[in-house]
Amino acid sequence: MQLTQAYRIAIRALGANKSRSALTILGIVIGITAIIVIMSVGQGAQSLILSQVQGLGSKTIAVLPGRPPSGPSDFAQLFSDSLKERDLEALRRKENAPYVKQIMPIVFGSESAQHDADTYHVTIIGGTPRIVDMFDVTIDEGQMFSDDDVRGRADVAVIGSKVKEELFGSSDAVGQKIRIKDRSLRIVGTIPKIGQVSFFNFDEMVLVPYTTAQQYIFGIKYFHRFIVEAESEELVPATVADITATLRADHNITDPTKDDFNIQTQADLVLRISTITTVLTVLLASIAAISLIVGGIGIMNIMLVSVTERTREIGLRKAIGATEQNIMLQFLLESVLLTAMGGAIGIILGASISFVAAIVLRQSLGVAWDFVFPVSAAILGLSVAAFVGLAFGLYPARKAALKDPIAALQYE
Amino acid sequence: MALIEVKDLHKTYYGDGVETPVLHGLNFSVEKGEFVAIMGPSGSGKSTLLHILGFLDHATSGEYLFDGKSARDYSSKEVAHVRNQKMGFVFQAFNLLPRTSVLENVKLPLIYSTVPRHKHDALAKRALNDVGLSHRLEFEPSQLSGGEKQRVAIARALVNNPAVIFADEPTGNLDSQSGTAVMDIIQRLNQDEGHTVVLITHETDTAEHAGRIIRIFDGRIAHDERVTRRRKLYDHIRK
Repeated sequence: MQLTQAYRIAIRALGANKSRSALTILGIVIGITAIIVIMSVGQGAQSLILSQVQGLGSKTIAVLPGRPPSGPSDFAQLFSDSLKERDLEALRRKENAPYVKQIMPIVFGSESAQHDADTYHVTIIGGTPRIVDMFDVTIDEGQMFSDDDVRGRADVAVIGSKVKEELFGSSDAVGQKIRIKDRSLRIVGTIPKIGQVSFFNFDEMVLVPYTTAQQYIFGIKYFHRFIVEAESEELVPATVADITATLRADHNITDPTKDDFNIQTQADLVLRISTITTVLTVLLASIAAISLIVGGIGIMNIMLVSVTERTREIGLRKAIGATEQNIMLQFLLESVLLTAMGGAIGIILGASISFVAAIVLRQSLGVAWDFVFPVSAAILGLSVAAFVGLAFGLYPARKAALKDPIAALQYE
Repeated sequence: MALIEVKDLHKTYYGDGVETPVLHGLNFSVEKGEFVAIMGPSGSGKSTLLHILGFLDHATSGEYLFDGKSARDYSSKEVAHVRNQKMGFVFQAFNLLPRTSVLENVKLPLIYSTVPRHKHDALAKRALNDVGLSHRLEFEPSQLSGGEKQRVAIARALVNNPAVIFADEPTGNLDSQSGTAVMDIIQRLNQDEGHTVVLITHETDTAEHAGRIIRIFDGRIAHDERVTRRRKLYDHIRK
């Protein structure tokens, strides 16, 4: 018997019970749909997050205090105080790090900002005037504070659009004062509404000179970050090596495993985020895959019913010369066709849902969310569906193949 | 060499710790081209015998030689091949596939043969022509009369041109007129085309179409005789 003939028999048998076939594959359809949607949305989210990270610029290097994380349960000590003013001075010296174009220290934290009776919870970022170039932020009214302000620990601030709206409404903010931690800061500029820029929501921020933030707001003598820009992307690895050597010398560290700082480049970050989102996607997809097992059991159940129903047909086929393999092939093909059809429908459905979801997310969140059709997931989904058909069709098909022809022919 | 040879054939069913002996040592042979009717009351073991002859069941002891080879020496693949190529079955209950056209039903044994597919239609149509059903090709079994259904079953048994046709009470579910028509066809297949026929029946009228009648009683052969006044082909038409 040729495969094409077995295929024709299977198609005919499935067509004879259209509604039953349709209901049977529902579990597979749902399972594959879920997997496709999760994979597609997961990849969309990943590319969105990565595009945000890449907004930092590929020449950017972040130096963080604390030991580098050595494993999943080992968190970097975020508020460790190892990055000091003299590290900044050391890194600014050309003989230590020749390819550093600019370096900006950052301190940050959350505080309440007050104006008259209004209070708003803001994120304080202490930095240098370079911060606007690094994050590609423009100043709406007024101007950015100056290097002199940094040197002189001036009580000046640049505020985000949401902060302005909450504290000043529609009236002018520039020239007004806000109180943070009993310190009165004069507003020198405002940032227009720009939303999220690489993890920072500038709308809810108050930018101040880092010296002011250190001394008067947070009362600390260390930094939370150094943001370093290398001369070019190619010089990033060399710069990382320079920074590492400089900081180790500065901190008297001889054993690299005892580093009290860690350095992240955009490449590191991209790799780490990709790993996290991939793990999450795989986790969710595996949960969705459970529904495939449930669907497979449904297929097995219906195939067993079908084998019993068609006992006489099986008996007849054996009496006129069908081998056990012929019968087995016929029923296996039926279940594989069922699940493969379910898989194909699931892929189309999943892709459609993901496409609509991408449009909705783009419009409701205002982010550049791309629709990604996960080809690998589609291929995987289809083969998993076919495998489920094979695995769960095996038992019923074997049962059919081993039927005794006389008993089968006399079955009522 | 006889096509079918049975030596001291025994069959006992075992179920729930009870032994039920059905056949007690049968001896007979059927030559190529013979038309043998096996007669006996219900429970005499004639159906069991036909199942053993048709490779659908195994004897408990004794020897069954088909085409000179012991039934025990056929592998399960060879059994399927013999059923497909050398045996044709006609059942009392017709056993046609429902919701499947007459033509497709007759083509069924060809699917399991090595006959190339482009020849299937022609072979099935020729077999249906032999039983006078050329005008029913696209009908489904539910649209046919009982006699027509049995003629489709005969066409299906014929389509691979088997050495022997086993018929198990082929007229049992038919009225006498359709039954006679079916028997005429079977007789013609034997006389004109040389097919060996082994038929089971409990009706003397039906058995008299055969050239030889083996009577079984309580699992033993009671008589094995030539039919002297054999019913002639198309008797009922001449009347």
